[in-house]
Amino acid sequence: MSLPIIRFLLGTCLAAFLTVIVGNQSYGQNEFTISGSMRDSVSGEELIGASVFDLTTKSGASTNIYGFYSLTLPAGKHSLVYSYLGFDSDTLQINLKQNITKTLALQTSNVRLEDVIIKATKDNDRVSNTDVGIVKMDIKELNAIPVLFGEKDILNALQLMPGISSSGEGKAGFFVRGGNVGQNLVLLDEATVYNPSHLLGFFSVFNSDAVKDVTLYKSGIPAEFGGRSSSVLDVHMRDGNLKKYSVSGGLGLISARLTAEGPIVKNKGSFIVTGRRTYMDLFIPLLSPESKVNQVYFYDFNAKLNYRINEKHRVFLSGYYGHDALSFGNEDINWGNALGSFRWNWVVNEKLFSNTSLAFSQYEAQKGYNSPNSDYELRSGIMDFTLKEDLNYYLNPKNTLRFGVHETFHVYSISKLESRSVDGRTSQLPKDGYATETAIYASNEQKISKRFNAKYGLRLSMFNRLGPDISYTYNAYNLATDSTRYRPLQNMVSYFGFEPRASISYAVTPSIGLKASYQRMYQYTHLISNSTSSTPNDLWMPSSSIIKPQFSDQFTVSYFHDVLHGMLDISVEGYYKILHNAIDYENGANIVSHPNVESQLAFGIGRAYGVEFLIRKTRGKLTGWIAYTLSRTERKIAGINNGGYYPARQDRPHDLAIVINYKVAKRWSISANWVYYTGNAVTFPVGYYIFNNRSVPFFTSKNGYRMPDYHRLDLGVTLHGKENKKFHSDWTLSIYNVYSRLNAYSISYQESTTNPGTVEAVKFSLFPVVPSINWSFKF
Amino acid sequence: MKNLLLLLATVISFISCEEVVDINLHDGNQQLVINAQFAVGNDSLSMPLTTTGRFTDAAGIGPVSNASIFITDQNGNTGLFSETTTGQYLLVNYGFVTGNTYSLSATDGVRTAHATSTVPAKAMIDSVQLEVIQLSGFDFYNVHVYTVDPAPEANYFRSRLSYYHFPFQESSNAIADVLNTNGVIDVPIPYGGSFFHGDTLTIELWSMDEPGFQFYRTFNQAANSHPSSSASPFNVTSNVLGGLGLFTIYQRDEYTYIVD
Repeated sequence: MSLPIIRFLLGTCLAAFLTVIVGNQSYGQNEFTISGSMRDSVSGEELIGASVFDLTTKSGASTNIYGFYSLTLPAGKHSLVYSYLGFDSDTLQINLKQNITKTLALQTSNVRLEDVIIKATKDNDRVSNTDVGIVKMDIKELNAIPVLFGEKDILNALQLMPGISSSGEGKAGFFVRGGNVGQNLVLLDEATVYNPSHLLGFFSVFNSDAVKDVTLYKSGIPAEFGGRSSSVLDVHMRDGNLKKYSVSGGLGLISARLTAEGPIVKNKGSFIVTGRRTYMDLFIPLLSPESKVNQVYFYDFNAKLNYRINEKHRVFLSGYYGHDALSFGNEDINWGNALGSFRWNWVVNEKLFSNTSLAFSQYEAQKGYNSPNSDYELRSGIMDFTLKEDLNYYLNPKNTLRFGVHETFHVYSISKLESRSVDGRTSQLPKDGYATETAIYASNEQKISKRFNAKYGLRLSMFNRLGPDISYTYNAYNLATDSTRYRPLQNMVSYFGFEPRASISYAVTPSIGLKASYQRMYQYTHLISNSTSSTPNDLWMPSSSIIKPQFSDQFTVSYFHDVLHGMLDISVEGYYKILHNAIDYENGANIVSHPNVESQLAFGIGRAYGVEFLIRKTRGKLTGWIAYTLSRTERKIAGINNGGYYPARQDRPHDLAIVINYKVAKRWSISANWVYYTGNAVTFPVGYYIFNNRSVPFFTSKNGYRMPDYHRLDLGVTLHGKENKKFHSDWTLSIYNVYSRLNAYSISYQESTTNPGTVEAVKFSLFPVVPSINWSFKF
Repeated sequence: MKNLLLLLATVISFISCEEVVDINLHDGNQQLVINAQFAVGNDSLSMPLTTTGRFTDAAGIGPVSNASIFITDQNGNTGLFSETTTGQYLLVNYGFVTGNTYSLSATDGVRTAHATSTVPAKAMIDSVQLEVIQLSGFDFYNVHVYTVDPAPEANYFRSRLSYYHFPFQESSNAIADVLNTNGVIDVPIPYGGSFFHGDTLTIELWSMDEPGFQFYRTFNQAANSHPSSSASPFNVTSNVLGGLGLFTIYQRDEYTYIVD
C-alpha cells in the first residue's frame, strides 16, 4: 500500500469517526460553557485531575494534564464545587448567561495527607470512571516508602503495585503484565525516555523533586498513546513556583540533589532547575590505591521554563540530560539520555484545548575496552524528533473528545563497533537505521447514564523504514544470501497498525464498580536485550522486513469495591494478553557486535494472563496496601522447546507486596514493606558430554529452571520538620533488606576451588542489609 | 560486566557477596553419545561410544563397554562393530556408496541410540587464497578455499586447516551452499593464524550431509560462544535419536598450500 493511500485512509477514518460522534450530539442554544484552569494557590502550578462538579445538574468535569477544564451547562444558576485531593474545596455560585472563563486557585488543606501514597485513580470517581489498570502516584508521599540507599525512586515505588514487577534486585526496569522492559513507553514531558535507568538500573532517571505527575497505564490505555505493546508511563515535570523563589534539596548515602525554582515574571512564567550527582566514586580510592582509575557515578539535570502569554496561550520548554559512567580496569561503560520538548497550549475556545509538542530524545550508550595494543568501542543508541498535535474537545458534560496526530522521525544507531590498533583506527560494523512513525487517533469519553460510562477510540499508526540501508535475506541457517541496497529516504518497508481501544464501567452500587477494557497496541521499535539490566549491549532496533511489528491484544475485567466510605478499597483485576510477533533469540544467538543482529532473532507469539488483587487502607493513622499478582507469561517460538509454550524471562507466577505506613505522632511516621516474588525463569545445563575432546553442555529446556524466590523486608522512619517554618526539613532513616536475605542477582557455574574437577553453582548477591539516612530540606 | 557490577555494588555498599548454592539440576538420565564420523574410502571405521555426565561433576561420563553397534545400508547390508578397547569400537571392510543412506544403531542393553546419514557427492578443492589482515603490526591471515560445487543438490561443507606442526584445528568452519550455484564457491576459514613464509598449509574439505553440517555449525557456535555474548543457551543439533552426538559419512578432499 503506498504512502499517499495510507495517509488518505487515515484521514478518512478520523473524519468519519468525528462525524459520527459530533453528528449524534445536539448542542442546545440555551447551554453555555464555563472553562478555565485550576491552580495551587501557593505555587501557582496547575492541578492535574482536579474536579469541578455542578450540584444543580449533578454533572462535572476534571482538569487535563495542563490543568484546563471545560464544563457545558444549561443557562441559569449553578453551584459549582471545585476540589482536589489535599486541597480545600471551593464553591462558586454562578448565573450562567454566556460562556465564561474562570480560573480558580485552591488552598492547600491544613490537614496533612495521611491517606494516599499511590492511588489507583482519582478519589472521587473511582467506582464509576472507566479507568482500568491505571496507577497514579502522589509524589509528595514518596518519602514514606523505605527504599534502597534512601533514594526515593518513582519506578521502585511503582513496582509495589499489582501487575508491575521488578526486573531484578534494586532495578528501575519493570515488567508490566508480562511485558518486558522494552515494551513500556516511558515519557517525560512528551519526550520518549529510552533508558529510564541510572547505574545499570539501580535508580531511575526521574528525580522526584522535579516530577509533578506520574501515571502508569497497564490497560485501558488512551488512544493518544502508542508505540509500545505493554504499558505507558507518563511522567510530567513540575512547572516551578510562579509566586516565589525557593530552594530544596537533599543529602543521602550516595547522592545529593538540589532544586531551585521561582517566577520569571510573577504569576505568568516560572522556572525550575534540578540536579543530582552521586558521590560514591569518592570512596573508590579507599578500596585500594590502584582503584583510583575506576569510576562509578551518574548525574542528571532537569530544567523547565513556562510562560503564560495570556489566558489562551502558554508555552513550556523542558529539558533533561543525564550521564552514567562506569569503568573498571580496561573496561568502561557510559550512557545517557538527552531530552527536550517545547509545548504550546492554546485554548482555542471554551470547548477546544490544543497542545502542540515538539520533542527531541536521544539515548546513547558506549562500551569500551582499552589495552596498550588495541581497543574497541561499541556504540548503540537512538534519536527521535517528534511533532504532536493533541486536541481536547469538551463537547458537552457527557462527551469529551480527544484527537490528534503524531509524527516521529527515528534515527537508530545499531551496534556500531569501532576497533583501533596501534597502527591506526579501523572502523567496522557501522549500522544506522532511519524510520518514520505516524499516528492519528480519536477517542470519546462518554457518560452514557448515571451508572454507565464508556471510553472508546481508535488509533491508526503507520511505520516506514527508510534508507540508506541494506536489507538482507537469510537462509534457514541465518546466513545472508541476498541483499538489497536502498538510497537515502527510500522506503524499505511499511507497516500499518489498526489499534482500537475501549473501556466501560458500570456502577453496580455507589460503592461497587465493574469495569472492562480492550486494547490493541502496536510496537515498531524493539529493545533487543540479553540482560535484565540496561546496558549498552541492549539495542533499539526498528521493524524491518525480518522484524515484524509486535502488537498485543489485551482484555481486562475489573471489580472495584469501596468499603467503609473510602476507608478501604478492594480491587480485583483479571487480564489476558496476547502478544503477536513476539521476539526471542535464536538458539545460541549472539547480539553483541553481530553485523546482522536481526538474523539472531526468532519470532512467535506470547501470552500473559493473571489476576491482580489489591486491598488498600487509605485513611487513618495506619495506611497501606497488600498487592498480590498471580500470573503466567509464556512464549511460543518455533525451534525453541520443541515449539511449545515456555516461561518468558519475565514470568513471575507469584508477586506479593505489603506496604504499611503508621503515623506515630504528628511529626513521626514509620513504614515497612515486604516483597516476595517467584524467581526468574532461567536456563541451566543439566549435563555435558565429550565430543572431539571438547566438553559440550546440554540443556533440557529453555527457561526450565527458576532462580531462588526473592523476598525482602524494608523499614523506614521519618521525622518531619516543624510546620510553617521558613526552613523545613525531613529526616528519613531506611533499612533495606532488614533480615539480610541474600537474594540471587545471578547464578553462574564455575569449577570448585575446594573440590577440583567438579563444578558448583555460585550465587552472586548484591545487597544484604543496607541502612541509610536521607536529609531533605526546603526554604 | 560482572566486574563492573562488583565494583558498583562494592563501592555503594561494600557488601556484595558470592556463595555456593545447591541447584537441583535434573541430571539423572544419562544418554549415549555417538561420535561416528566416517570418511568414504576408509576401510577401517572406528568410533567411541560414551555417555553423558552430570554437569556438576564427572560422575557418569565415560566409555560404554559391551555395547552392540551396527550399521545398515538401504539394501540391508549390515556391519557389526566390535569393541577393541574399552568404549572404542571398530568395523572393517564396510564401504559406502555416494547417494546411499546408512543407519547406525547402538545399544548398551538399557539405552538405544539411532541415527542415519546419506553419503553426499564429493566436492573438490579448486584453489586456495590467503587474505592478509594487519593488526598491531603483525600480519594475520584468513584462508579462503575455493571449491567446485557439485550440482544440483544443496551442498554442505566443513573445512579444517593444519599448518606448520599444528594438527587440524578444531575451530573449523561449517558452511552450507544451498543456492545450488554449481560453480566455484568460497569456504572461508576464519582466522587461520599468523603464518610465515614457507609454511605449509594443509586444508581439508569435508562434503557432508545436512545433519552433519547442522551439528558442526552449532558445535562451533557452542565452542566459540562466550557466556556474556549469547542471549540464549542452546543445544548442539544432533541427528542421534535417543542420544547425543553425530553420525555422518563424509567425502574428504585435501589441498596443500605453501605460503610464499
